[in-house]
Amino acid sequence: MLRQVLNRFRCLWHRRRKDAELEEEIRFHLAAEAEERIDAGLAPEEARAAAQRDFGNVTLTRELTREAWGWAPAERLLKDVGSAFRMMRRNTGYTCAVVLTMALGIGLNAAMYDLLSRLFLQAPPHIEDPDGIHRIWMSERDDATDRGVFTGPSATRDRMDWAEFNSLRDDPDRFIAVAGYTAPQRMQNGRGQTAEDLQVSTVSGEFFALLGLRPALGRLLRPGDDDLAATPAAVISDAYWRQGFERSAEALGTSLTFNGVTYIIVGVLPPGFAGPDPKAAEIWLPLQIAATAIRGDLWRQSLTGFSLTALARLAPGVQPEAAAAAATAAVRAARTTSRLPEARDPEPTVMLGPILQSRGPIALPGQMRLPLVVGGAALVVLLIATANMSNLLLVRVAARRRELAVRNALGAGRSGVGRLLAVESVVLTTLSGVAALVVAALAGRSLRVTLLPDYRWADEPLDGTAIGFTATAVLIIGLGAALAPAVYAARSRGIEKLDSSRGARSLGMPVRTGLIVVQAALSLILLSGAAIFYRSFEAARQVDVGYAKENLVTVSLGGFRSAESPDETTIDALESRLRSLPDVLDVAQGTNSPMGFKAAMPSPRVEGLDRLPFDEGPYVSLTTPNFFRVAGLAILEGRSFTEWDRAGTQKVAVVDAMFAHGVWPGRSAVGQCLFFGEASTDCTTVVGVVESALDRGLSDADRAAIYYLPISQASSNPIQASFVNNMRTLVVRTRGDPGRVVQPTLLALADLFPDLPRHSVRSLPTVFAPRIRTWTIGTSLFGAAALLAVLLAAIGLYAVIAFGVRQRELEFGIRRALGARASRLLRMVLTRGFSLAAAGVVAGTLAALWAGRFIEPLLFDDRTPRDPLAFAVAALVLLTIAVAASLLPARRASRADPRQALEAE
Amino acid sequence: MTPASPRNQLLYGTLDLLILRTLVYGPAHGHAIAGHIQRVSEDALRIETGSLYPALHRLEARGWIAAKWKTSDKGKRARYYRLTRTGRRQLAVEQSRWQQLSVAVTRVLRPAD
Repeated sequence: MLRQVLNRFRCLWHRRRKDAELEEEIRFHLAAEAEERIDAGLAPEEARAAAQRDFGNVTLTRELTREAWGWAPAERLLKDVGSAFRMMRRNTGYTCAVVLTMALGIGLNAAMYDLLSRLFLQAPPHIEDPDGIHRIWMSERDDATDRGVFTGPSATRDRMDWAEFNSLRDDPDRFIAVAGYTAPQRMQNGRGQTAEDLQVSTVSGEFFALLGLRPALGRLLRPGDDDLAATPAAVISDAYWRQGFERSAEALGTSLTFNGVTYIIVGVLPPGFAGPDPKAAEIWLPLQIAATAIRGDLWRQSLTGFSLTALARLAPGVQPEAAAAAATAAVRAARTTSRLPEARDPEPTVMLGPILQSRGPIALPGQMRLPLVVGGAALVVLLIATANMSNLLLVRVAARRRELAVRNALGAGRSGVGRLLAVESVVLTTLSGVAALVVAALAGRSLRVTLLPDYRWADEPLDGTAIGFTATAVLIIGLGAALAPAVYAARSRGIEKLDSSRGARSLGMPVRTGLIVVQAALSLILLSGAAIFYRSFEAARQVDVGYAKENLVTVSLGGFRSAESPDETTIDALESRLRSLPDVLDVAQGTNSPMGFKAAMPSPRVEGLDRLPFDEGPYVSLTTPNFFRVAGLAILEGRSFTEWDRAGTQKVAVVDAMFAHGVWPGRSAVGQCLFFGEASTDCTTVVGVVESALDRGLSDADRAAIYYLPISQASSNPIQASFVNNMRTLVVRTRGDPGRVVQPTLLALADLFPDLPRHSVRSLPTVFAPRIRTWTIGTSLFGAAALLAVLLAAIGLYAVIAFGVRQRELEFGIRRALGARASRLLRMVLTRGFSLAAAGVVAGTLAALWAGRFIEPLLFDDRTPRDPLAFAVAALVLLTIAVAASLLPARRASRADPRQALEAE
Repeated sequence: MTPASPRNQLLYGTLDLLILRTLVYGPAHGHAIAGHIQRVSEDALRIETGSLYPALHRLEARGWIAAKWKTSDKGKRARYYRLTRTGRRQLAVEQSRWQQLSVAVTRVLRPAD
């Protein structure tokens, strides 16, 4: 069978030679026949004539023989393909519209599909039997009252502390292996200017064995490495091996230094593996050694902030439910014996989920939901593209009725015309498919960066899956879109349509108008989505965080372990270096990083209150007098600190508005006393009230009370003094873009504080941007999708209206001849475009109201997706575009010349 | 699309059988094949060229026979066909089919007792 096919194709290529050969073969036959007759005694002339006569119709024989070669269908196909290319060259605009439509529609979806399948469907590469690995989740209730009553909302996390993890490890009857790892975290290798930030994950000794990974070079971490007594070892990713060592075997034995511990690289992971989660790690360190280096010796105890994620393989024959029940018992036992049992729900429940975090037992977090919603938007674009393509093809068929009728009349036959159209569609879709792959590759990269900027991807976006998706989509959609026109064309029965084009109006018209309405409706969904996201984006962007966030850079000098408390002279040197920078206006000091780390001390006492009325905090910051001015916080009442607030003078404090209203409601805070220490009667006078700042999150619920004390009065209180020593932060007010100050600040830091990690310098716009990222992305991606959709809808609408006008040219001519004014004809056509769009608006609004539930959890501050203003804007845009798209054909209609129309008939 | 049907009175498919059988004696060109069939059948079967060449090319396309240009005994270039291995197998199949058919036809034609 295969040989036959190959044979036929070979024939196809040697077509000309074969023709010549056949010719020669027939000539030989005739000659041989004639010779035979001459031998029998006939005259040469006569013999040749007889041979010819006997042979019969040479041409017919040739034709029949050619058919036997089996080329006929292939030959026809070639002809059709050629005709399709000629048609495409003649109609460049139409071809571009279709190819572009499909390329964008399918390419975008291929990229989205690729992204989503990696998030939700595929386990990371190289993991052995990923279905046999379970991620361990723990569901527990929060303490609603802070008094050991666990009735708060239940939270489910894939995190646990060391004691809980260890309790799971002692159950070989149910778990063959349990391994723990910490999510990749930015850590600094080396010090000073040569330091590099790397994504580091720490893993328990069983981790790599449990995943079944094999090293690309050297060895992976083993249980023996996860021991404080062992030589610190590290394993690196293929990406880092390439980037840092150009894949040289010399990487083995090289050392990396994190938090003062030197790790020797012992192995390299296979390419593509960067951890069990999409957020990629570059370095893997033994968990116990690294945790001790980062957190000191106390990290093994509960509530020290250390947590890890556990993965497990079940023992043969053990059901996940049984294993989860046993694990629940083990974790509960561990909690009752841990040091601070009263702070945690003593009865957590353990659940086992698939290895993929996104498939865990809890509802999707926003980070995961956004790609899904964007995927939905991409799907809508694809629907529009399909509708548009179908529409364009239909219009083409209708416009080509004369041509097709002629073909029919010349004997092409119904199947012939249908085949021609099908071939045209296949050629068009193939072109579109190739273009779609290009779009997919480009869009894939930028979508990954935009949607999930925290993730580093171990592989390229365009792989076999994406290509397969594209091919499948092209096939289904291309053929689907081509089906309707082909059916219509086949149905049109030749001759009677040759003489008039009037009947053509009915051809597929309801389908075409229907498709336009569908496109308009889908466009409205995307437009309103973009508008809804934009409203959230604007609201979030305008949230007043209190700080002058557009012009601040913060430099945290404390809050990390390995460095010693910075000494005052170096801090002063740094401050004056920063002041000398041209873009720096002023520098202040505090112990709290604006929009960053916050710390609390034992709460101050206030006369008449047992306990300060705050769920969280109050936090404290010890500052220099210029802090409020530099940070941009307004003094609402009283005064700021001054240079006269010194050791020995009256102790003073400034509180924020939230503190003031909470503690002294209805009274002025200025003049009130705060008492520090158990039985202290030493009044610290509140001298001012400053506006509240939003250090975390974006809504009022995220606010926490804070009070400020002057650094100059801290020395008499040991706790305050240690705050000043260990958590110093410089706040730098810049002229213009604070990004310009970051680099010179890093240089100064490398000179004066070489041990400080690079990320201790932050410009506040870069801190703020991630907080509104959901809406930035939502607005831009929905906006782009909506733009695309409206463009496609406009093309479709234009094509339909323009075609309608061309078909009705005679009618318009007659109307004009009968005295209709041009403006009336103009209005007629515009109304048609408008009413189609209006129908789409109605249908789209209903659909969007329903679909709103999917984006509701993503909107800012409980905003509703049923936003009348957003829908009004979307409708207005769509209707305007519709009228604009019908304007050109409408003008054509209004200028219809009765004489010309009649002559054309 | 209909395959070239034999224009003579031969049953459809019989020509293929005759050609394959003829080629058992060795490679031959089209004219020789037609002549052979005519001679052996004592002029009972005349192969029309309008059927012969389409049939030859069809058999070639199916891979049952293969063609090669050779100089004929008269010194002219001629296209010689020879039986391939699959062609030999096919010949056996066709032959047994023909035998079955001819037995069946004979039974039908047997005068009623």
